[in-house]
Amino acid sequence: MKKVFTLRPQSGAFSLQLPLCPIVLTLCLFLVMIVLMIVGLSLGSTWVSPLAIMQYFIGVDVGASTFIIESLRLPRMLVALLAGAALGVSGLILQEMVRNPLASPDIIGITGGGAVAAVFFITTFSGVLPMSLLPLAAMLGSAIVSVLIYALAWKEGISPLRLVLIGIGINAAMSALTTLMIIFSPINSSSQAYVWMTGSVYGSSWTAVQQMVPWIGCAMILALLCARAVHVQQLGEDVAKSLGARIQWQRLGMITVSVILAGVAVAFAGGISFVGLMAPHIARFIIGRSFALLVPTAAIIGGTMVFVADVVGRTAFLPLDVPVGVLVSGIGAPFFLYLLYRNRKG
Amino acid sequence: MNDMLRTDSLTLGFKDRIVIDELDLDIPKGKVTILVGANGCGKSTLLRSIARLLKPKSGTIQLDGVDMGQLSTKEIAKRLAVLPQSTESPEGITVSQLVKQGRYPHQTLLKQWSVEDEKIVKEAMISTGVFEMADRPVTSLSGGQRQRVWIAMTLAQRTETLLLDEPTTFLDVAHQIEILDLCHTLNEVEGKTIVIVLHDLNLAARYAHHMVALKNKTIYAQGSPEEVVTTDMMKQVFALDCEVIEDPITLTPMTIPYSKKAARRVEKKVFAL
Amino acid sequence: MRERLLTTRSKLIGLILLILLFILSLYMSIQVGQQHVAWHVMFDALREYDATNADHVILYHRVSRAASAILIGLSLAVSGAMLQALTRNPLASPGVFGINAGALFFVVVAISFFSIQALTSLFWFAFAGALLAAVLVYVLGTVGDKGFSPVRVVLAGTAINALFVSFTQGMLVTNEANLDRVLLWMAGTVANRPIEVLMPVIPIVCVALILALLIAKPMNLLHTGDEIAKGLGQRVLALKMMIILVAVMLAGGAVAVGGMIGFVGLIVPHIARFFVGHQHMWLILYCVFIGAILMLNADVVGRIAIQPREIPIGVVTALIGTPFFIYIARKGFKQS
Repeated sequence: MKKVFTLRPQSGAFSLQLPLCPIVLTLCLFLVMIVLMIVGLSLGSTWVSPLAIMQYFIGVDVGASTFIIESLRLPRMLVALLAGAALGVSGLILQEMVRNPLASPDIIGITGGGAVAAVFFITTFSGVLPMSLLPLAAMLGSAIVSVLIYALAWKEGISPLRLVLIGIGINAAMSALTTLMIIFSPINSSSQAYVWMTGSVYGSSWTAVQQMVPWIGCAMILALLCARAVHVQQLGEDVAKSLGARIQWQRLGMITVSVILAGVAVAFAGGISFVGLMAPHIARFIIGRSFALLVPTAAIIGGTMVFVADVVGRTAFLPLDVPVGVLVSGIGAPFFLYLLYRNRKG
Repeated sequence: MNDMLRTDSLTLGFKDRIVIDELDLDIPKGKVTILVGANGCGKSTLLRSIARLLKPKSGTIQLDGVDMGQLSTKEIAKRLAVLPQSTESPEGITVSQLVKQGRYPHQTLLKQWSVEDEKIVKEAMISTGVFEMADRPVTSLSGGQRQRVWIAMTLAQRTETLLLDEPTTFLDVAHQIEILDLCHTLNEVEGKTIVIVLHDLNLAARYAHHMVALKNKTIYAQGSPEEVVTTDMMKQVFALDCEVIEDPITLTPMTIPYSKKAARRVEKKVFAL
Repeated sequence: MRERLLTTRSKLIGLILLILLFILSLYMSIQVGQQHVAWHVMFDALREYDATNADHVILYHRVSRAASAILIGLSLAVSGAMLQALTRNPLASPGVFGINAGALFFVVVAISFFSIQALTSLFWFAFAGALLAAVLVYVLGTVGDKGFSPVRVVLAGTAINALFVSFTQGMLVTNEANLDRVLLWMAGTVANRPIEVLMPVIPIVCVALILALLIAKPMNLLHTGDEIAKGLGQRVLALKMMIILVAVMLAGGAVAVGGMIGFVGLIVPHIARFFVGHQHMWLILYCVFIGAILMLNADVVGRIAIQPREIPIGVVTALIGTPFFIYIARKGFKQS
């Protein structure tokens, strides 16, 4: 038998089995992420030594650097990290649910709904309502569109294929609406909207982090709880049913979790594409097929992709601050292609 | 109660097409029941509906005297396991991972892998002879091995009843015997009630305690293989002329169909005389 | 999924209806607009074009628009149908394959680095971009022992697509002036494309269409799986390369003419399949006409909906196509 890690206390109150080697890999990825975070916090127009950053974290006063770390770089990095993690897991759940490697929140319209609402908000209400309401509008948009997709796909239950097809249909309509609004609005708000659609974490604050954490935290836990459902559904609809899985409820649950994650990410970081599609595949290349481990791995990879892209975006092109969405695929896609090339034997 | 499963004026179909009409069927407990019939007679549809994979248009199916509609799907999964006709193994899944999924109905969110689960999965793999390949990917196995892995998964469910939909399709004759012998052993040793949809009549007659022949949306004949497999039934259900002789090994009925080729040989003999 | 038109006869009747609808749409697209042009003027213009006559000039513009709309519509639709057959994935489309993004990127490069404005030159840039993207996808999707695997090709396609999109976005975000110039191109448009610009594209699209019809029959076998197709004596690899070539020629031409028009390549094949199923000869013919009809009507709607402004055609196709597509998706796909 393969090496496995079995969690089973004496009382027998709970038990869990996880493959050992992927656990180690996940932990390694986590460490890599931490190191990259420290490096990322150091970089910028003003260099802060990694040592100072570690000192800051353990509570040592680092003087003037405190402001740079605490008010400028850390919240922005955390928003990027959280958004990337959320998108990665959202895509993972969708791909498993519809059993199509091309599914992702931006393909089936969840992100599109957020974009319509956000662009509408920017082009009509900018200057009228405070910009702090933008995330709320975007979240509302993705929620409404997701409900619409789900309702339209319902016909004695949800079939994954129908859900995806209706999703891409709705997505096409949403991006048409977005384009329309951008074209008909004055150039300054249209470029603002374009930056939003590309995805940006510029000027993120601690408030954003505070608002994101509870949603994403809860949704991540729920995502982990989907593991059993995911594994049983992989065996096909008939077998899953015969094993006593209530697949319609499970599908509803998975979609809900996926929508919450994608919605929150879109709300605070805009329409970052690519992460939701690719982070799950990269995670699968590394980890294999244990869903309980794929969730944290996809989160780590998605989060890392986004914050690294953001660090590059704000440091490499000074004085320009390139929106993170531009660089996410610029960095992520070559990496993914490399993996695809390396795994050519599999 | 001798009947594990019974259907009460069960009607099945898709949209406007009725496949099974007002069918009453009793499946005896602790026996091997085999459903036969011509292609498209609805035997697989019947099995699927008994396995609650297909909602009946009307009528009920009872499991130990209780209407299945009243039981939760998980409750049913603990008492009745199904192997559908076409199964698709997910990419990269290993034998043990797949067999483990059979424990699904017995597990809860907190108890995902108890000592008992581990024991049962191991037993299921041993009794189907796939224990040696526990870590191999299912997709790398041969058809017969793959089918045994899937049967092991249904065994891990630890149910009294096992439904198999054409488990021998695509297998060579040796593997067909192997799978049916396995079913036979499970019935003999563990007393499982087994229901199989099977194409091969001779094998059906050999392994069944109880045979059911379907025709025209309902039962044409049922009973022991000797009662069911007759020249008359073959003519009516399969529209085939044949001789029924005794299987020299198991003494069960065996059908030898007439065909154009046989007819020529008979003619030759006549001329020789 | 079962097709709605089962017999050859009903398929033929359907096709004739489509052709009639196509002619009607074409007529509408030339007649309808802010400026009414009388019947007889149309024939006058055909007989003897007078560049000083305002009506004639309007007609000239409308005919050019209609020609681009038809060209783009049929190219994208057939290209999408080919790619969906190739990958056996209902989500495949020229967009997913990176073909659109590759073309767009090259156009943006041409505009911002080489300050090229002439449409004819931009066309060749777009075509080169489309070809480059497709070749990259093909190479990355096929390296390895297993040879061509649909999933790998699709994954490589999305990655290449993302890469080109991100390059493009990067260039646009750092240069706002270009954004304004390229935005309409990104939204897709058939306005201001004189018919001369289309001239280099027409032969390419025609050749590609003929090739598509020639390989339609063998393509039916792909649907049954590689092994069966091979067993029936089909040289599967050669066929697949052919499909990619045709799809790129068509999509490249379309993007070069009209920019990023997303919806058509993805969804028209589904609509066509709803009627005629998996027989590719019919599927391609239906795609040709449905694609063209959709684009012609979308253009008319875009022109007259909110005068004096125009809605970009890509927006209109999506907005009229979506409800219809959703209807079909609900109706047609029963199995899980």
